[in-house]
Amino acid sequence: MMKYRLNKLPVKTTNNFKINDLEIELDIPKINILSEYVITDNKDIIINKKIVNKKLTTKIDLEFDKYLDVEITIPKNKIITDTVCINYGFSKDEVLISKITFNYEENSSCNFVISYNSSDDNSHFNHLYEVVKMGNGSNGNITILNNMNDNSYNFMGIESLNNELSNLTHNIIDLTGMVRVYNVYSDLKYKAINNLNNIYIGKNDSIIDMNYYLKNSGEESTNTMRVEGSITDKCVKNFRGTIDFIKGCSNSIGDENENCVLLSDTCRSRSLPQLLCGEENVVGAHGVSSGKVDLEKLFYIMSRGYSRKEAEKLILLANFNSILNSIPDSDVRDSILNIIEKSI
Amino acid sequence: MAKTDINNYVDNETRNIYNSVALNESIEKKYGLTKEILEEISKDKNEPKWVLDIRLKALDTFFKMEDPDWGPDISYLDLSKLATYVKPVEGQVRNWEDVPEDIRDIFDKLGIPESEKKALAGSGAQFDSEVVYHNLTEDLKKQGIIYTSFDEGLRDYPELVKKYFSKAVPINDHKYIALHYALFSGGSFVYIPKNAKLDRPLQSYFRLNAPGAGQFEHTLIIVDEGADLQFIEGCSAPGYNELNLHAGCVELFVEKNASLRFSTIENWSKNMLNLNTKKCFVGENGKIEWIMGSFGSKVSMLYPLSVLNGEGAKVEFTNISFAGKGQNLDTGLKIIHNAPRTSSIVNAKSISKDGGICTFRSNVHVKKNAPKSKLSLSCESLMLDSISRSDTIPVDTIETDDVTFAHEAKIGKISDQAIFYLMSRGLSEEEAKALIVRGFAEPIAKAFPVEYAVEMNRLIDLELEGSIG
Repeated sequence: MMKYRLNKLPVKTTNNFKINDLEIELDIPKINILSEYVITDNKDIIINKKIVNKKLTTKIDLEFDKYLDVEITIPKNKIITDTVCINYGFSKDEVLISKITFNYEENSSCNFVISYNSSDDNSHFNHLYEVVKMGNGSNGNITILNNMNDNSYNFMGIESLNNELSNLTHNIIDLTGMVRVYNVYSDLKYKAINNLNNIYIGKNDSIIDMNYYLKNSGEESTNTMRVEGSITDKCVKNFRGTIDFIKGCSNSIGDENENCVLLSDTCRSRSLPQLLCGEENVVGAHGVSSGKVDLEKLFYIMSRGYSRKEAEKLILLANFNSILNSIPDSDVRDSILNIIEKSI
Repeated sequence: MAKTDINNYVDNETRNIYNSVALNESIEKKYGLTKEILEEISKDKNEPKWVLDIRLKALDTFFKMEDPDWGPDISYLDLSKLATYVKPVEGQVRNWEDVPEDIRDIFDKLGIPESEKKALAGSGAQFDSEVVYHNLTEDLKKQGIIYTSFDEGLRDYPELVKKYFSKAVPINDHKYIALHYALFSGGSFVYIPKNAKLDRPLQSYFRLNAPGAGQFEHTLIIVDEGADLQFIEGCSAPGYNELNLHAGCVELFVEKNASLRFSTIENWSKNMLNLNTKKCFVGENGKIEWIMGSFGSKVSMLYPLSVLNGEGAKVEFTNISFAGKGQNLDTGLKIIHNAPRTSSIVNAKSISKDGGICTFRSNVHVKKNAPKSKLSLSCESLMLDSISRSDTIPVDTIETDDVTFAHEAKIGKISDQAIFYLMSRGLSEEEAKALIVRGFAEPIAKAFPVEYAVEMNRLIDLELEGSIG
């Protein structure tokens, strides 16, 4: 086991606040790919897959010297209406280090779902580096589902460059795992829109560490961050959300919200919703709320004949619903809803 | 106080009053930071050995600790060039007439003796490293209320001071509090006995007159069970080209069912590094109210900590920061909910202009043993131009599920619609903007005692001069 300091804040704050990074002991296994990404056939997109023997690192700060590289290009002006699914099933002692690059060429549009599943209870290790290049006027919706088992390790570093007039939505549905570390970095140009939506469910002794840094560089750009989650048992959750208005991004909007429902008095929620502002003419807002399930709502639902557990589940699902509605494909949405229902 | 009196009070105020300098040379100045200097200071003050031991331990701690690697850059602070102890006069007096004339003139211009006569139960004035004046009305003395300089407190009430001193803020809290404990001089000691209520506030005013000097006053306030106190702290300094340092410390103890309203207007000159530390322990059903206005200084790093140790303890924190050209005000708060049914309400506002930087930095921690606690935090920032900065960096840690917690923040510019509306009513654009800024600060100004609300508004006007309004 080695001690690591991962997922560092873009701007450091007081060390005593214990939020600058994630200090964790890890045993990083060697890459051991037993299967492949299964990607829905779609003749309109160009896919290249290969094993690369080069260094791979992300803003999480872990480093590997070999990875599976997947490059997906959505050609210029191509509007793809069917959702493209990218699945990976883990088994045995599998260790996947991969990089997926989405090249959205000018005015293209396509929706993707990347899902990770486990077929057994072994400890799996997944490290994804996702790079999204949004061409001018392109439109993308990418959903990432972590549905591996409770013993798994999941690290995801996501970077997007959102060019002029592009519109990107990320939906991160994080349901399982012992250690889950997420890092998202986005840089928005003129009139670009970036929506980051996140659902997390934490239980047992799991650690969930999120570090999201959304930058408004261009004028009239919009960044939104909506994070909804619940934690219980001895779960530790750290949320760091930064919206950074760079000088010159006038008429831009940045809005971040995190709502964490605590279901036990042994879990711990730590949040840092940061707003950095170097431009006068912007609208920036953040909100954070934490606490147990709303008692009035609970009472109302229980008065209709539901048990406490069922009522709590309904309230959580209602909280998650606004995020799930951002997934455009209703079949995908329903199947994820089913998985969430089982997971709660 | 009648309205006309308030107007007179304001009319006499201009920026020049803050820039007045006493011309008389101080009678003693010490430079550097060595064991020998600390022993000299301690000997001059005739302190008991345990106090010197704290100073020496703090010196050792200071040299072992690192500068903060976050927040504003203060690496240019060169302590070897700083006068660490400046004695302006021999001894402290209880009549303003006995204060040397040039020093009295400054406090006259700041309105301190006038305020004392009209609105205060007691008043203290510190000039550089030493308290030059301290007084409390006779009726309050008879009630057992103690309000003295810190040195007098140490001399006259050694057991009481020893019981509380450095117990809220430990010497290893951070590097500059270690420096404070090594060099502390002046400040106030207040003890309000059980169930005593003061109908008027006490006020201590701190003036750093000497260029290139440090001020390290220590304020220790104990509000015993069921007692109430309003305490006002004012600070100012004339502007110099040399760097000045303020590393004061405020330790507050609010016992069961007691309440303390601690108001501060910081109006340091813009060559000041203000690295102040404040901490309050609150007992069962006790209440601490922090009301703060931060206007001056080159750099401020100030995050008062409230530790809610007793069931039902409360904190209310109201703050406004106003950063102009060359200023970096990094302010905020820390709150620890350490008992059931504790509550906190935070209302922080900031205004930045002409390249000024305002940062709101906070850490709120609800511990496992604080169920049924309630927290409501709100921060709003207003930027008056695009060369300024405004950052909000709040950390919230929740360790119990049975808590009601909400935190919201907003950053933005003055609304065009609001300006348009006011201009349609006959105001110029500049007047409309100035009115909106005053309106933005109004809820905070209201929390101050009336005379200080007026002073705060006046300071806002002074800050706005030349930019808007």
